[in-house]
Amino acid sequence: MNVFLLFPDRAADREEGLPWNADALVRDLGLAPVMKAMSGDDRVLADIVPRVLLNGLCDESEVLYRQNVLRDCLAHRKIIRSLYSLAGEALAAESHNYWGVRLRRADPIIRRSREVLAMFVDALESLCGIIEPSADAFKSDGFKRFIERLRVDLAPSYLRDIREILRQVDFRDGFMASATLDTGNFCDRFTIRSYQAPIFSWFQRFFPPKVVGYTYFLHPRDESGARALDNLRDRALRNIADVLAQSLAHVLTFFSILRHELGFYVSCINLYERLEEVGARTSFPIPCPRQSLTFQCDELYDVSLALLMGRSISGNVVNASGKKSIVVTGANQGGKSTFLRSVGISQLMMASGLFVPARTFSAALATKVFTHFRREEERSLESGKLDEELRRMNEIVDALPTHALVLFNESFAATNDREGSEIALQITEALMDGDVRTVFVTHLYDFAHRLSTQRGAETFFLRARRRVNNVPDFSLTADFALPTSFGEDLYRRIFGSS
Amino acid sequence: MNLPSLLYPALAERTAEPSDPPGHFYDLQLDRIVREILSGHEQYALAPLFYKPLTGVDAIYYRQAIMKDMETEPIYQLFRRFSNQFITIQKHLTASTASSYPLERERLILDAAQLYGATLHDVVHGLHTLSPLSDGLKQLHMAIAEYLISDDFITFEQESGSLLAAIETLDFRIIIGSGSFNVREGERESDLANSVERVFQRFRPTTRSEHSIQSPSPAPLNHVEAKVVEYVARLYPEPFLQLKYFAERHDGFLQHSVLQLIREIHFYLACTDFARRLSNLGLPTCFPTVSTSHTPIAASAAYDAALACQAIHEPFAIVRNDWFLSGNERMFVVSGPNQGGKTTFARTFGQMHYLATLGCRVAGGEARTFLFDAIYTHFEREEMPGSSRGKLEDDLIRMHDILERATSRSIIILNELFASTTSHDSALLGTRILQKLLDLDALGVCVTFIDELSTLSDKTVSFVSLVDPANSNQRTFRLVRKPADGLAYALALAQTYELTYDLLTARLSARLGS
Repeated sequence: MNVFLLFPDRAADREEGLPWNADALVRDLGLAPVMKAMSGDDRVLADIVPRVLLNGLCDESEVLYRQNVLRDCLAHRKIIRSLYSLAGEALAAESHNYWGVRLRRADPIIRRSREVLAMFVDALESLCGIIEPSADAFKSDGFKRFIERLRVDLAPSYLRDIREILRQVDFRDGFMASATLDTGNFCDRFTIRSYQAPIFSWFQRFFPPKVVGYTYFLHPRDESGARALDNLRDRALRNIADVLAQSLAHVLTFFSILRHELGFYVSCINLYERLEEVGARTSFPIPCPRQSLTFQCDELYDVSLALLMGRSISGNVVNASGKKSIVVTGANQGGKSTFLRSVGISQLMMASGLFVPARTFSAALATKVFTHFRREEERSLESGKLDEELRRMNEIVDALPTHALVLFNESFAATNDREGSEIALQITEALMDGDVRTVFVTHLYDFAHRLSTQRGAETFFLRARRRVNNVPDFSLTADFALPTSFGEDLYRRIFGSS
Repeated sequence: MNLPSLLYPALAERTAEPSDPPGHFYDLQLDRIVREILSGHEQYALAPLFYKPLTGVDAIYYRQAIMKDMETEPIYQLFRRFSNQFITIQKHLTASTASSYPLERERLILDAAQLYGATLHDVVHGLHTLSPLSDGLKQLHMAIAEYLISDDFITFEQESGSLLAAIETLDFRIIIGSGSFNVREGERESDLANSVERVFQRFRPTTRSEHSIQSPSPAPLNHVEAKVVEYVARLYPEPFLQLKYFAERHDGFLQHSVLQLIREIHFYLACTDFARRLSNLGLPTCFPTVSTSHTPIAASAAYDAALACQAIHEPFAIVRNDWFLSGNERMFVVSGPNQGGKTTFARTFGQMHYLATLGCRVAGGEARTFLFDAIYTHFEREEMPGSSRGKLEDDLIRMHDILERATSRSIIILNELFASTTSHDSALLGTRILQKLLDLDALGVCVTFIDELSTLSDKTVSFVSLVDPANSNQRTFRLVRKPADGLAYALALAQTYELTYDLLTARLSARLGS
């Protein structure tokens, strides 16, 4: 019984953790508003969203698979939401029944498994009931296959089989088992056998009707005997109790995978609706192979900023296809960091199958996304700061696969322009030659200049424009770096011009 | 069954293991080391083995060879299993004696017998396929293999095997109701757990996560369980008659030589475990070359194994030292600031020599040690309250005793000699004592604050402790604190993180290759 709505060939790994740099990604890219819009107040979604969003796909066909499933979800929002809450309710009822610790005695395990499984059968029936009327309206491979499986695997006759077996595993009136005489002639390796317990009446106990084998009746006051028999009973039932508990766990797994996978799509619907409210446009991106060096966007904006400001904002048009590195220079508050964040967020959103905040967006998928942002709040000696930045870079390199994307924001500026430029240049060039894409926001003039002379063909330069009349202009123009970044302007504005 | 000893070569003379450790044991903190080595192997009473250093190079290499074999993972696992199975065998036999139900008692003897046979086969098969290189294990292999083809053993094994098969395949049913049970012959009733599994099969995830219930370890039978067996025996009397007969004849099949072997094996398992614990901390150990001539001796990356024992429980950095003595050199004279690792060095030197003569690995990357006749230590001790003698007098008496007994083949370790007296006195006395030791031609270490001692003769080698030379942070700082311009500084920093173009490119392409 596979769900396979997140991946074409496998179930989502619900144990999958966050990538090690998750905190840095969330903080540097400002992902919190996006994740908040996706999960709302739902704790389950709040757990699912970062794990799916930050562990993106790196295969285009998998991305397209999710995009199609998501299109179906956007077209049938109500059904998706009710399926998600059905799975949630079933699981909630289960955890209500669950007594936390692994139960030791077989009898309560069997009783609980029978009860919960009976409840799950009802939930499975409802599941089919919800989806069946609109079954033909789903167009994606993912959903078509999922619905087909439901039809085959959860046919009414099968649900009847489950209910019948649950009736049989009621051992309150006794049971028959085979066993092996193990070490010390200790009865072990019990197997419960199909058997209908005859009802012995008081009379038959004294004049049994043709009893086979040997029968032992405990003396009513033999308390240790009663305990021993109870213990024997418990050991005999352990295996089948375990099988029942495992079956329960498997059905439970089905429901929690269902909730997990649907949950992600529900969170996508949430974000979609939130952006609709705000009036911000979105589109499905075109994912390109990792090695392709494609990067092309039209009206790419910072979705977090749009969510925070509650309105649509203008974006950037960039075509940097064929370039290994994008270097952004220019005026302070000219939108450099905003652009950098919008690139990072869009890459992550694309990789997890989501739509992106742009009119059009087409880019090479990144194996992983890393951020190396200058940490303003960490004040220390200059040397200590450079050391800290290099240590962080070192950690990134340790985890760096080929075709990754590294976003730098004012990195290596903790020292003077010449030193910082030298380090930035060596690192960037090594990354370019090691098939790692970079976007580098920088004030290091020397770095930008040398990169343009040495690696001009592989690098795309963007320059943030100066504010005109104090009106923010976040757009960037493809241009070569200028020697200053208008810090003087800023200084003058803040300290008052003369 | 005649088994060779794994501790002593066939022709070596054997003396009893002393019950008390040698006098230097506590000074060198060998007691802590031995306690750590033996942790997890306490029940084999191995400590006395560590009180008895070997006196011949051949005997040492005999053990080293076995130890090297034991350290290979398959052989280690083989003997681990061997030992564990014997624990089970003995458990069965103990339970058998304690049982009040004949059917249980007899069956436990059969179980033990069957496991005994299987265990011997297992070890012979293992030794055959793993072909150990040491004489000790080769001889052990031969001895057990011979026993396995003896007529007695073959009969014993066939009997136990067929009997066990007969009992284990009895097909009976128990019906458990409330307050009663019934035992009868089996028919073809279907397996209900299978049906459950079949029904829920389609929910089984592709990646299986099985958690199966462990069978309880067989406890002594209670009267209900005994009754079940009794009824089964009534249904099928024949195999149980044979069982009775078997138990009568084979009670007490376990021989002393086998128990002895298990103990010896645990000497090797314990030492191997210890070396692995050290290696998990990144601390090297090695088999020393043991020599009967005073020099050359040498060690690299040697460290205090007692400190390492502490680090096993709460890791901290361990300082390592290199040393050598060659030609005429006999005595390290160690001076330098306090807390500089002088005492640690003295202990390390002694421990290494002692452990080497046990056939054990020693704490260091490489080592060549001297085969001594005895180790004498003189470490500062608390003044004995109530003693009529002063501390200096006490020190001198102890020193005198040592000089009485020591020979040119002894190792003498003196720590802070005569620290309790005036510097003039201690220089004078120290010089005299050290001169005597040098005349004796013994090997050793003398830790002192008296600098003159280090230049006493060509037999002394001066060792000066530095403050924390192994601190890696400091080393990084040193690397960058050279006089240079700013660019070099920043790049040097980048270089320490392997982030310059060349280093980074190499790292990235190494990633591609892997």
